[in-house]
Amino acid sequence: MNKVFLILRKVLLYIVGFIIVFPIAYGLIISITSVTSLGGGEFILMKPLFKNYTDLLLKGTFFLYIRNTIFISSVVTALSLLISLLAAYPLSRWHFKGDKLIFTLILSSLMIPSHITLIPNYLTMAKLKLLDTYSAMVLPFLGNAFTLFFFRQQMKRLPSSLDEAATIDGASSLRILFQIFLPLMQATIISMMIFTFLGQWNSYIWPLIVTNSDRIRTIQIGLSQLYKQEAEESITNWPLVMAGCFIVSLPIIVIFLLSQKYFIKGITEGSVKT
Amino acid sequence: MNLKKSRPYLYLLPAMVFLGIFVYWPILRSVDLSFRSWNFLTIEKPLVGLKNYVCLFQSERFRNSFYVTAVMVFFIVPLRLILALFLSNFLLGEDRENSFFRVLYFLPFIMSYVSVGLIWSWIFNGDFGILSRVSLLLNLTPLQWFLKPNLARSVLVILSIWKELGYDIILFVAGIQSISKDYYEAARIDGAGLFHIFLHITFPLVSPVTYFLLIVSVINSFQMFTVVDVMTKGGPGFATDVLVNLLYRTSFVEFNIGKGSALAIVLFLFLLILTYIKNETLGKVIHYE
Repeated sequence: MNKVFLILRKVLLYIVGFIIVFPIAYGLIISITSVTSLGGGEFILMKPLFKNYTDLLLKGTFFLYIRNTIFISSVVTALSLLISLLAAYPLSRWHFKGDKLIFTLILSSLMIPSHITLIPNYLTMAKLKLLDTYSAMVLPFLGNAFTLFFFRQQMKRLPSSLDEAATIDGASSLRILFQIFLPLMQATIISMMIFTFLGQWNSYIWPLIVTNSDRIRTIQIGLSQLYKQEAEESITNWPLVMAGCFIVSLPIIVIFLLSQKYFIKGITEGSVKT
Repeated sequence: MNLKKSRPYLYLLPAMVFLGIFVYWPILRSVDLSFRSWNFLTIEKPLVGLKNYVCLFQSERFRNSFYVTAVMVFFIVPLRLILALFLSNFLLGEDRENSFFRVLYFLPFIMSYVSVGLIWSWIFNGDFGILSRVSLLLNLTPLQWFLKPNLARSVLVILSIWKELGYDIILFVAGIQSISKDYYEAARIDGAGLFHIFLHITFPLVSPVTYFLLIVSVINSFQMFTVVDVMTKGGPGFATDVLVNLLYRTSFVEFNIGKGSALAIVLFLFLLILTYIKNETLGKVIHYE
């Protein structure tokens, strides 16, 4: 009975695994074939194998989009984490007038669907003459209630004896935050870093609205434009589109595989009571 | 002394300024704009009262969008949760095999909706996609997935489940693992079967996680957009014209800012009410340890 159960379990896990991986693996294989092979039914590997990839990266605007995305995602991640750390500190350590109100306000903003802010934020950017600039891509994401909340929870867990001792030694609150708290919160910070970066890397509707030129445009928009162009051709170059999908996804997949421990910790910490 | 008093506010200032400008203020602004008639171009933004809302509720397209979104949420959310909860029971240990499968199942979640949308567009492509080829091999007529309303919606439903399943599993596994081993020990001594253990221990004790995922997945599915924009553009006809797609088209293609804002407010209130109802009803059924 037990042995049958174990075998069935394994079969089930592999079947689901196949369903999950198949589209990704299939797309990956198609991305190294050539377009002429598609109508005929047989696969012809591209020669050289990664020509679709090199074509996209060397000939078109893809490289520029990747550079833009890396720049924007990094700036947003660094600044929003710093701002959240600063704000989380007083909320976790001090009592002051309005502290409860401010915390409630921050929590409630987690319930606001981001799409409600699209039109007003677009208008704000238009008014500041920032449409189609890096600023438009960065500024709206610098206040991040999600990371702020996480940091505050994490700081609450650090024993107060830590900062009491440091205060007696004459350390300023900034020093306590950055030299004592920061090293102890490494795991949370790394997981929030990955989350923010991933969110920016994959974001679509905001860059779709506020970017117009290749100079600013990010990779997800570039990918969807590539598909739009190809769809208008008489023969859609699906292998090229698939190569685009993986140029966009592979960096993220690598980051995930290297940091999955932090990633999963970040996801579970927010929702499962421990 | 004065500096000491203002110190907490200084720390909070940058965060509150950005949240204020880009999160709180936009809500008020949306409410205001939803009572006006404006197309981005004119200087005047005349007040029109509830006209935008009345127009919205009377329009066939809004009702269709609401229906289309609700139908998809209705299929996506329960299927996601049931499948994830079922699979989680087989992925509990911390050994290599379990973590391998959990990581594997999680892969689609980290990929963008644009890339998975395009990969799936290719797989379901009516002429050359692999499904059509397999159908031809089996002497079946290939289905034109993106030309039939129900088929197009099914593709989006299946894709959403496929993409988000790994996330649900990670949370369920963490939830089940945090249940005290004593319960399982006691049940085993009493000779309870696997199914009974699941029904009477796992299911009730993991309910806070189920509840959390229910809220999150309903709210997220109601805001589905990217994958629709990439794969179907709301078509065929208006069969996959989800609410946020309508919001995007009304505001940034037709430039009807008033109506777009009214739609944003309606969506916001709807999700708020949904969360509230769930808090009131489900909150009482949930079992906290």
